[in-house]
Amino acid sequence: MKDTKANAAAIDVRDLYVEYRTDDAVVRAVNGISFRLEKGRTLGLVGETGAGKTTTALALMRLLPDRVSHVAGGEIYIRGDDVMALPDRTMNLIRGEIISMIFQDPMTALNPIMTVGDQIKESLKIHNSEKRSEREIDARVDEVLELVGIPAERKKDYPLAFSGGMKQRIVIAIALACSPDILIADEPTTALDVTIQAQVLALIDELKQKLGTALLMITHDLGIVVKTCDDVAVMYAGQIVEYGSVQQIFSPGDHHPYTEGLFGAIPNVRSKARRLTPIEGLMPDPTALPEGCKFSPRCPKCMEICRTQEPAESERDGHRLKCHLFGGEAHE
Amino acid sequence: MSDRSIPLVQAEGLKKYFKRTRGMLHAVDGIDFSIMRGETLGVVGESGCGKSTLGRTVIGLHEATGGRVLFDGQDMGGLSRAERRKISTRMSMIFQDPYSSLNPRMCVADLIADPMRINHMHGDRYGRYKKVAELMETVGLAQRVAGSYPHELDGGRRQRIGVARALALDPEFIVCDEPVSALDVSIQAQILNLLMDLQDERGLTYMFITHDLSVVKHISTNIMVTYLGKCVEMGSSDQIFDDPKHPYTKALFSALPEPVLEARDKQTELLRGEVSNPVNPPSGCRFAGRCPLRTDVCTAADVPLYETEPGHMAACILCREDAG
Repeated sequence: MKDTKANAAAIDVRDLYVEYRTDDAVVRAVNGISFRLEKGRTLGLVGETGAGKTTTALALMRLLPDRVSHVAGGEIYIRGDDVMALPDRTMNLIRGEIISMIFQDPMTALNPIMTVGDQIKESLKIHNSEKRSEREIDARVDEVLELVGIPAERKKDYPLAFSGGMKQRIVIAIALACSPDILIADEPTTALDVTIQAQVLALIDELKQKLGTALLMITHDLGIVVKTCDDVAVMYAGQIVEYGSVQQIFSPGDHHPYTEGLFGAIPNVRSKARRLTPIEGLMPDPTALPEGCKFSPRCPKCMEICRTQEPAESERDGHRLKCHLFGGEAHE
Repeated sequence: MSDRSIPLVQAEGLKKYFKRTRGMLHAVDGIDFSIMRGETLGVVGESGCGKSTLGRTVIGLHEATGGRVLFDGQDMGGLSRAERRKISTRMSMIFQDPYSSLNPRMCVADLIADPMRINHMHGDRYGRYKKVAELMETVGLAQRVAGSYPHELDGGRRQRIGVARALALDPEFIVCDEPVSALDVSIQAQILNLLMDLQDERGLTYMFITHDLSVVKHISTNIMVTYLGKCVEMGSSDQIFDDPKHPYTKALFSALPEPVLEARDKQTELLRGEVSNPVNPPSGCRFAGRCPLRTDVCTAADVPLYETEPGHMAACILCREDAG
């Protein structure tokens, strides 16, 4: 069933599966995830390396490398449009104009032999649906640079002349140049220092307020989630194991053992305890995922049923949990 | 045996400059500290502030431009090549990036045996590989990965190889340069616990370099906060965390995103501007350009460290009165 365009969610993902194929194995990177992101809201995708966060983002943008990977099932709607069914030409226009992405590493996301002004201009020229003249495009370049706090006269500089924090702001400027409705930020601050990180997050937040952008924030840092997100999806081995509002996820109560493990493993500046509580074991090999619950081999609360049967999702007040501890009826 | 009442590692006015086309890059600019045996000095600061250079200069991977390092009371600068080589087996380093610091063409056992082979320790091949097996056990690597190559292992296991290599010569002092920043949180905690256990078992002395305040809290006895090659604050872990004095340390705490709901409404005090250039830096406080409390006095002359309470020092003129 397709939403009508007027009330369609910014992003609507239903039961998405993504696989990568190598010569001798199939990597199941995303295994049946569903979520909605409404206009003007921020959803955090949280998880560790290999949880499938970036793969999900690339699938949304239809940027998966098609020689080795493909969407193996499910549907993706961007503002009501079925992404998988769109012709390439339409997708090229949507990408950048409707939905755009801030990449993780500002050091490698920029072209070193092009001035930053030209790099911003490039996306404006491709997505010139407003038929801007050359002069208007130049004015827009100045405008977005000022927006991210970089003096417009620096547009003639090459990336090497900027610090890490400034490069990340340029990457943000490129993503925002065409005023997209939806922004995917893939670990936008991992490469930055804490004081610069705070500046960049404040900037993203300010722009979100100003432009009413829907934001998908991909991060492994729960501190960033609580500061920026409205809703949170905790991912493990390509599945959403827990989903809820920031209040639900960060308040005590019923939580997925993996979510609890994540909170326990973070070094806390307020705690006086010397030892940390790591999650034992390693992320499962995505070519050979365990039977039953994917987290069961590392779970301190693992039961017999967890090893054989995949848990169903239970829901209460929009708080979704995929765990046998809270199985069957709505969890109390 | 060495004297336990003197610091194991001591730096006095340590400087390391690098020559650049436009002048001298002041990576480490007059740093003093001492670390007692079995203790950990945490070094915190942003990238590019000279933390790694400091660590490398301390163990002699860089030649100091000025000042000196004393190891177990001996001036490292005045040693002959042979003496220096001997003393350098008593110290080692764990590197930041387990992806690029291991030779991709060597298997795990060879990687761990390498320091011993180079220094002709633990006898022949057989003796060395017995030691390798012990080390793998110590750092929690299964024996079956002995023949694996780094690309076959994940980041956590690779960093365990890095730890095993650092332990291979039974050193007394280890510089840990951002040993967990490339790892996932759940794995980070495993490695930090391992480092702390090793310290307890073997009485190791650490210099722990990181940009992450929350990591340093758990492991450090004392903490030094650096900014552009200078120490801006130094004190015990509790002093720094309970009562930070320098505006930069305070900004670091304010910017630290805490994973608690209360943090949602907390206003972060944002610093304005970018880190200034370490090439030919101006005189005065290096942080003045971004400091919310800057006055004219700050840029007039270099600011010394003022002792505000026993063992707690901060390089800020606002601390001058506290120091009395």
